[in-house]
Amino acid sequence: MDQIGSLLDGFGSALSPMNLLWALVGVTIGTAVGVLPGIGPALTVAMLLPITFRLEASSALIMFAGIYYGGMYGGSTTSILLNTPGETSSMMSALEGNRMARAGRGAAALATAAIGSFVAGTIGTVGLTFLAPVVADFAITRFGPEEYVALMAVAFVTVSALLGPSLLKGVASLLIGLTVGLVGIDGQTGQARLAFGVPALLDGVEVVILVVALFALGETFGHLLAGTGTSTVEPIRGRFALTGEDLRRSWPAWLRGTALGFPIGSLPAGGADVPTFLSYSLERRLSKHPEQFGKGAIEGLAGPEAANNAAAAGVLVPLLTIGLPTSATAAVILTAFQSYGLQPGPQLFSGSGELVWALIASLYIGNVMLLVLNLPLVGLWARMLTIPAYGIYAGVLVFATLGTFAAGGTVTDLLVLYGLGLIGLLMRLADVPVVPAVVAMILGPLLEQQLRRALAISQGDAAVLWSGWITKVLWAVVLLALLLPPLLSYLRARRATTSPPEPAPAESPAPRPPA
Amino acid sequence: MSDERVSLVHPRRSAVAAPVPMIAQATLDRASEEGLRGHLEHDRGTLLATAALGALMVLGGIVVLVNAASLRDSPGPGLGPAAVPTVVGVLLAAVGLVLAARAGWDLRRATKPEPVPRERVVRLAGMLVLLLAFAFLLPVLGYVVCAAFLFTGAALLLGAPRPALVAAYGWTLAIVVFLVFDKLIGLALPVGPWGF
Repeated sequence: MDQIGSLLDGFGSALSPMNLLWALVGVTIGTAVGVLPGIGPALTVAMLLPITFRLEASSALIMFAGIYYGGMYGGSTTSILLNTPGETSSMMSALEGNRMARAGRGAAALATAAIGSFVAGTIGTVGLTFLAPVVADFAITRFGPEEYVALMAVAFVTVSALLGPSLLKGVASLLIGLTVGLVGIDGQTGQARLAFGVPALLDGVEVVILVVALFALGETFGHLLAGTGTSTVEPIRGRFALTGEDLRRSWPAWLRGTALGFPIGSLPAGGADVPTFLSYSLERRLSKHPEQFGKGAIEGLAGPEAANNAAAAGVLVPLLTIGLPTSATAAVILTAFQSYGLQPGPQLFSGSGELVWALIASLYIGNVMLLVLNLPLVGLWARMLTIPAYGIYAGVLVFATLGTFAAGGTVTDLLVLYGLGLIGLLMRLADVPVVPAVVAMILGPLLEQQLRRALAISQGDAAVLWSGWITKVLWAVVLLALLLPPLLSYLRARRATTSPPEPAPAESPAPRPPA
Repeated sequence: MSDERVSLVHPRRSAVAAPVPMIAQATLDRASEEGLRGHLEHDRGTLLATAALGALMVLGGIVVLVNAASLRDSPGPGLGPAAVPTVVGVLLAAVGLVLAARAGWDLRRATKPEPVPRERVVRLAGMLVLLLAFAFLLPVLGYVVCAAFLFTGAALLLGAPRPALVAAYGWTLAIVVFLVFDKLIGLALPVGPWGF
């Protein structure tokens, strides 16, 4: 088993005292920032990017892994105690989790989330360990430019079709991201595109700037327009432990959530949030206590929470093996790799294998650290939730501008940030999801590059794009992803006319995440 | 309490893609959440924003197309530098047009008009002025002073009570960030005439 040997080497590197320290710093800061309401993992990673400025590549990536998992964990604490998930994927955790907290079972809710995250994260990382090299091998032997083109088409379509209220709005977001990605010097002819003679735009717009603009500035502007309120944190009562009954109901849900989360997350397609929705409805259907759903059913929290974390590990498969980010967080991690001159893709495992395996090993370590750290420290994290909104967003602005300045270093970069922030506000107000824009901005230039390469090899014959069975299958998936959602909603509409309409939610409105 | 029997999300509906309203209400209490009812499909604010976004996309599409037309083509077979921008520009304008047109159509039967209080718009404008001042004064006054004012100003615009305390927080945060990022990590932050 090749992987085991490489992984052990990775552990050897990740377990050095300095790297352990970086992992610890990463999970701690990641959790602390991720806990802050309204701040999801993508923004956490983007804002904390400057911290790794002076570190060498392996330490920086190890710290990043910690921030990634820490941010995921912190987000679920917020969903449970405050009912305000920082991103779509912890929406489902908020549903039952917050009900449990309101019923005075917050401690059990946090415990099942923490242990579920650990179980799912660990199994997911095991999956990553064994799946990633296989996928990389496959990609290296079978993937030419035309396969990449088809694969990116799949990612584009699924990201815009699965997120947000409508396909059209997803596509709108996608196109906005593509346009931002066009800015800069064209690699093949050296001509500037959409730079309008501004020197700072010749290098293009940094992904970090787009992420910070859409998530942090859009959010802050939205708060200004909405007017802020006061926070209501559910106090944690009781021991931070699971009863035997809780555990009996939790563990199958953890495993089912993981089984849904990892495979779907590791598909080279968008929608890492989908398994959390699937897991919730599955648990509801399988539960022996369906009447408790909506009132704090522990399996309704344990399943989605596990699915969420397993998907987070899964997302790293296409990212590391084909260089295909399918979530906003993955897009930011990709830029972190690029800032060290590393290009995620099939060559990464052969070219920088040591580094990748150290990163994967640190994912295992980070998971253990998070469990150990969070079981005793959960009270501290809960206290962070009492920081008022104005403090959080004023601080976010300070770090957002800092991150932008670190990425670009000019006043122009800040002005670009503000402009994109205003577009982000408009997108928020218009109910347009922002994640497709981030993914498209990263994938757009890659798609163009591969498309040009494919057509140059074929002497301009476009038929090469659907030659070979892999491309045919991928284009079929694209068609399916485009046609299936409208078909499903048509069927749903027909079913709705034959059954009575469901009553509107009464007491507490469903959680509403930013994107 | 009818609430006891009511589920928040219909499982069948949530299984494919949950409709996700985009405004996060990180720390909103229930009263403010009620005030935010606006952000659902088919309400006036969302439709107006959609129409505005659509119009902006049409404008952006035209800019992209004009820019693409000015690019010289590359020799040889394959795609030139203008091919992808042309496709993006056309789609941008087309999707923008459809969004704007649909929103405009729906506006005629939109639900309750809910104007945003003028005071909040003024606050948003104030925030933009503050951010612009930060960008232009940063090279002149240095990071610490600018970040301290950015924090204090933003917090006050977001409704913070007790300005003196907020200012103290702002200065502390700015100094800590400067020490950690400039001195410890080595990110060269701009300094003012006073050396920080």
